[in-house]
Order: sequence, then structure tokens, then C-alpha cells
Amino acid sequence: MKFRSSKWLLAGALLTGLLSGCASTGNEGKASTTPASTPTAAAIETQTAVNVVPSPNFEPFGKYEEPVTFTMGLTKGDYSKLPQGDTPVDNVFTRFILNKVNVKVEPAWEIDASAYQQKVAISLAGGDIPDVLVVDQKTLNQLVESDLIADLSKIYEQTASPLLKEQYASYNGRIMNAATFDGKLMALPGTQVGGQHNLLWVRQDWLNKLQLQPPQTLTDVVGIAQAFISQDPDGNNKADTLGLLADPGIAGYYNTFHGLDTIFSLYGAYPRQWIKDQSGHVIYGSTAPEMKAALTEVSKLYKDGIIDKQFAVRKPGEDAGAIIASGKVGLVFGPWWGPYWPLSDALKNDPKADWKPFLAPLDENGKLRVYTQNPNNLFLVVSKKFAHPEAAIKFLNVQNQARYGLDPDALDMILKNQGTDGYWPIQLQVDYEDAVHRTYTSLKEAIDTGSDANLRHDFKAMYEAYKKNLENPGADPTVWAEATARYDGEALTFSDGLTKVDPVFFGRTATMETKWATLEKLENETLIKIVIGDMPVEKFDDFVQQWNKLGGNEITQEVAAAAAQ
Amino acid sequence: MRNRSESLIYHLMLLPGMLVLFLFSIIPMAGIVIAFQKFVPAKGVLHSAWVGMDNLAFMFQIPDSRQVFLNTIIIAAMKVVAGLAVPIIFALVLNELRSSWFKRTIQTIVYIPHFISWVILAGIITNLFSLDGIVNQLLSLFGVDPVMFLASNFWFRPILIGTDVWKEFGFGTIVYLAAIAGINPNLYEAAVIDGAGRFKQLMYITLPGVVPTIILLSTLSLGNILNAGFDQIFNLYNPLVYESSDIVDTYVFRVGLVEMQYGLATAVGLLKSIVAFLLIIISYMLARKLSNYRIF
Repeated sequence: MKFRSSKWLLAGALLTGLLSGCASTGNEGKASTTPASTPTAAAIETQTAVNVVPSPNFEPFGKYEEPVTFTMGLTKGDYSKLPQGDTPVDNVFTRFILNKVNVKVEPAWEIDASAYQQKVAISLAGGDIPDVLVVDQKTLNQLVESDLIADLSKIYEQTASPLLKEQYASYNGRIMNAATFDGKLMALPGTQVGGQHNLLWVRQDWLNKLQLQPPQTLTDVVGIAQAFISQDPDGNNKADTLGLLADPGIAGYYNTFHGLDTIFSLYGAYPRQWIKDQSGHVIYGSTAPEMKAALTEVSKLYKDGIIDKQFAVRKPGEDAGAIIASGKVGLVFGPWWGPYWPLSDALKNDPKADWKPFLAPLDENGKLRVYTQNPNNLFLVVSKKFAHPEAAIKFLNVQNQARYGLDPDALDMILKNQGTDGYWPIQLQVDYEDAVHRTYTSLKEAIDTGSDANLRHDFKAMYEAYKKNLENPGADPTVWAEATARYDGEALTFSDGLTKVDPVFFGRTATMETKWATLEKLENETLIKIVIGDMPVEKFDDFVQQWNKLGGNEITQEVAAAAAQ
Repeated sequence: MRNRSESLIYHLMLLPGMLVLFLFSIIPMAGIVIAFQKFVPAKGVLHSAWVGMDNLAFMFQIPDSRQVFLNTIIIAAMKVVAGLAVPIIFALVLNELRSSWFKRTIQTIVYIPHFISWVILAGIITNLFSLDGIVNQLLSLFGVDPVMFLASNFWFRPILIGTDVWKEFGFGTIVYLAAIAGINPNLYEAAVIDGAGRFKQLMYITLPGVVPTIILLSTLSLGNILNAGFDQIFNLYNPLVYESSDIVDTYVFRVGLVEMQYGLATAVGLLKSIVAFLLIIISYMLARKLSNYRIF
């Protein structure tokens, strides 16, 4: 009997456990839906509030007489620095904007950044989007197709601030295309600034030690690599130093470390980029005839041991980063920001590791050949149902003006709230194409004049870092990184030293959806095998043929059509 | 009457497990329909376009499908076989040890790698097999030139299988040791009286005693014949060894990640499940016939 009742007890306990589990999940479910339903009420209020506003106001910084409110999808951030009582949509930044133009923002919903695009997709499917949204290219296309967003062409002309227009103009017309459909501007694009091409980072202390000249041509680079391999630059009497690190993908990944892009471009080859050949036809860079000579050169470099023998089996990033940190290499390709990571890791182990950037290898005209990246990333869209689309643009006007330190009224607020840039409700970066080099120019001016009085508020820390690093170079890797990236690295993003090729297409076509994985596999395999010597360079022609046959032809036509638009 | 209330208790105990199974395994099966759609998350299951068997057909049309399927089956089959044989042998050997303290310690140690993720193990393995890694250093003692193991299509599969067995055999060993412990000691005593030595005891008592367990574990592992181990391969491979190691899962991962083809990914998963289901039925029937193993 006792046995039986204990069994009943067990069964009961199991069930209760399960039910209570269910109950608590039920509660959570409710808790998470509640905030989502509140904004609906707010949205209704907004509707009525909107009706009160007498007339639209298209002045870029013109203040509405009555407050205008729009709803917006927000990402959850770290709000721990917000003062008590403030919220992501009611804080010192939003009140500043309210004060300036009388525009308010209400959350339509708030969701983790990782699930944001998904959430947007769901509201899109329901046809009920918030008044204002920041979306990616794919969602933008869907929104236009579903006819849910407003045409901003006229409003942009009337309401966008001169700063915003100037910033967009710095992309020479490359930026608005992606947001323009049938000649109508359907969104305000966020920007990805240029200047993230590969420089050659060299250990200056090793150059000095081995009495080598800084590199310019590819021959110089090879000579330095040979010296670094054979002449024991780290002075530990072991032959354990490497020449040049490389990425297993060989080249073509913009804004990453260890790609051999600038060696390929010497031969006019731009792997993985959709470019126009000399006759103006769109071609996939990896299949261009120029690749053959470039691959011959690179595979020779591998055979001669200039390129790290084991690059193929190293995980991109982490493994190479560990080699840099351990001080086994003094020659790597990477963008201007390299000092932040991975280069400063070398200083943590060896404060003398003095990485310096160079424009190398240079072509016969003495320029570094680089390609540019997709200037677009995110887009600001306004719902068709929202009565005041210009309010969103005003919001962005004020926000951008303040963010870039051009609004004297905002300076005090920004200085007091350093590190809380994330509380600007519209997370859309708009900046000049050459923003990186502009930073350098103003920093250099401050250094030359010895005063940071004219320096933008957010650049002052760089100036401090530069001065601090001068006193004791390399002592603090973080300070060194800031100084070296901003002063030495950014200096080399100036246009005069570069020959730029603009790829014509960055998106994906219909055939790519089904065939790209196959083509990419073929491409990856072929490139690495030719470099490593598993496959003779002559096979490159077979690769091109096969690539075209497996769908490359079709895709090239699609890309050409898309690029012609 | 007594019987009914008795079984009611057991059914109540079963209920939570069944509910969980229903909620998390049965209901999500509705998602299988994605395999027959051109699924667009924004449109959802209800509004995505139906494409019939296109996704499945496409899987066999991709030029690499032959290579990818062959790799999958070869690697998985070798893993299944090695993964069955090694723990049996190890458990039998371990069982012959006298010191139970030593036995338990070994048993625990070989079980440890089971808990380490492939992300970490891959780093360790990459290091071991690198040009200046310990394996090549040992080989150089015998005058062998360094080999780039992880870039060699000849060596990559053996390394995959070896490391997978090393990682997982501790688990099987524990199961077999438990099975061995469950054998009636009277049998051994009787055998000793009849004059059987250690080896005879092993052959005629221990081995037949664990056969049901062997069959059970084989049955379970047969369902894995299309699972060649995504985590392991993804963390170890590089384009040079695609030829010998690109499997269905890594291929679908690349297609799915870059192209976001949910329909195709689901179709592949569905096909794998169907094959696994058939194999499990077959092996269950075999197990029933061969060793009188029954679930129902």
C-alpha cells in the first residue's frame, strides 16, 4: 500500500512539475506580448495627434507647432547607462530632437537585434508596418513590391539637410541607386564608408634591425619577406618566423585581413568582384583572363615559401591572429583599422612590435590598386500610412547634425553622454565616403597646430591617444592602436595614392540562389589548389569554362542586366 | 480493477514525457511542409509558394551531389563501424582488469572528450597535425618528411574517423560495461567449475551476454548513416579537402547560409530522416530476428 501511494506521489509530482513549467512559460508569453500591445494604443493616439497638426513643415530644421509622433521598430540595446526614468524613446537625445523640431518617437515593438529583420519580415507579411523602420536591402525590395512604403523623392529634396545631401553626394551617385525604384526614391540609405582596402602592415622594428628599406613594389615585398624568414628578425636563433600570411579564400573579401587582393590587382585581377572589363562587359573577377598571370605569381610566391606554407589549414582570423600575437610574422595585408585587432595583440607580448602601414605593392604608376565596397547597407523607410514622412527625415537631420558635432546646441549633451551613442533612436549611419581620411585630416591639423580646439568632440580621444603614445610608444597597446590606426593607417586611405575600381554589383540574382554555392565551391577549390600547386595554372581555363557552364554564364547576364539599371 | 489502477499510475508517469514529446517533437513536424515550398520567412508557411518536389529534385541535380552523398555515406559508415567495434573491445579489455579503482578511473577519463565541443577539439587537432605539430615532430624522428595532414585528401578522412571514435568511444564503453556487469555471476562460477579459462569465459559468456546491447546500439547508430558529423567536419575542413570531406550537411549549410534556402535545407533534413527511419525499421526487424530484441 505504501509502495502504491508513493507511486501516485511520483506521478503527481511529475505532472505538477510539468504543469507549473507550462504555467510559468505561459506567464512569460503574456509578459512579452504586453509591451507589444501597448504601442498599438499609442499608435491610435498618434493617429489622433497627427490630425491636430495643422500643416506639414518641409523645412529641414523647421519646428512643428504641434508635436508629431511616429512609431518605430526598435532593437533592444544595453540601456544600463540610461538615467532612472529614461527609456530608449524618452531620453536626453530624443528630448533634444523634440525640442528642436517637435518630433517624437514611440516604440511599435522592441526586439533583440538578432531577431530584428525577422520581426520586420513578420510585420511585412501582416501588411502592418510601423511608421518608420530601418531595414536591409532584401526587405526594402519586398516593402516596395508590397507597396507599403512612401515615395520620398520630393520630401528628400525639400527636407533633407545640406549635410545629409553632401554626405550622399560624396559617393558620386553610387549610393542612391539601391534605394531608387522606377526613378522614385523609396528610402534613405545608410552608408558604408570607403577606404577599407588592404594596406601592407610591416614590423618597422624588424625592418630597422635588418636594415631594410620600406617596401614599394612587389619585389620589395618579396625581398622583405625573404629577409624576415631567413634572417631571424625576432633574434631567438630559431628559424621560426614566417613571410606573408594569407587567407584560405586567397582574395576578394573586402575589409578583412590577410587577403592577397593587392597582389592580384597588380595584374588587373579583382577576384570575387563583379567588374567591367576593358570592353565594358560585366565579368566576374575570378574568371577574368588577368587572373592567370596573377595566380602564376602567387603560386610562385607560395612555392618559394614567401607565403605561409600552412595558410590553407589555418582558420581565417583566429589562427592568423595567434601567429601575429606570438610575434612570428612581420608582414600582413589588412585595412587601416588593423592596429585595434589583430596587430595590437603583438604588442601585448612584445611592446617593441612596431607595426607600420605602407602602400604596397605599387603598380608601375606608383599607385596602389584597390576596389571599393558596396556603399549601401541599411535603409530608412517610412510607411505609406504615415501622414508626415518628412518628420522622419527631420529626425535624421537633427540626429546626424548632432552626432557629427556640427550642432553647437548638442555639444554639451554629447560630451556629457559619451559612450551612449546607441540611444539615438534611428540606428542609421550616414557619413562621407572618405570619412576615414577626413578623420585623419582633422586629427593631423590638430597635431600640427598642437591644439584640439577645432577638433570634433568624438575625435578628441584620438588626439589624446596620439599624444600619449608619443611619450611612450607602444607602452599601452590600446593607446598605440588608436594612435597608429587613426594617424598612420587612415593617412593611407587618401585617394591620390590609389587607383580605385568600382565593382558594379553587390547583390544576389535569382540564379545565384540555386547555383552560387556550387560555383563558389568550384572557385574556392580552384583558387587554392592553383596557389598551392595541386593544380597547374593551365587548368584555370578549364575552370572558367566549367564555371560558365555550371550557371556562371546565366548569372553574368543577370548581373549585367541588374548593373545596367 | 487492481490492474487498471496500477497501469493508470504508470500512464500518469508517462504523461509528462509524452506531452513534452508531443509539444517539441510532434508538433514541429508540421514544418516539414517547408520542404515542398519556396519558403520566404516574411510570407510564412501559409503564404509561401508551393514548389512540389522541386527542392528534393534540386538536391540530386547539383553537380556536386554525387561527391557529397558519397562522402557522407563513406564517412558515416566508417564512423558507425569503428564507433561500434572500438568500445566493445575496450570494454571487454577493461572488464578483465582486476583493480576496480583503476577501471573506474580509466572509464571516466575516456568519457571526458565526449563533453568537449568540436569547436575546441578542432583547434587542438589542427595544432596536433600542423606542420610543426606533435605528430609531424614524432614522424621526423623516423626521418619522415612533414605531412600537411589536414590539407591532404588521403589523410583527412582517417583523421575524421579516428578523432570521432576517440571522442565518443567512452560513452559506448560505459554502456557495454554496464551490460557486462548485468551478466549473472553464476554463469562465470559454473564455467570456472567446468574448467573454462578467462578467454573461454569471454567468448562464451561475456560476448553473448552483451550481444543484445551491441544490437541495440547498432540499431540506434544505423539511423546515423547520413550523419557524417557536421560539427566536426565544419570546424576542420578547408577547400583543399572538399573532395574527400564535403558532406550533405556542410554543403547545405553553405547553401542555406549564403542563399537562405530554407526549403532546400528542410528537404535535405526530411530525406535524411526518411532514410534513417527506414534503416531503423530494417535494423529493428533484424534485431528482432537475430537476438529476439523487442520493443513492442
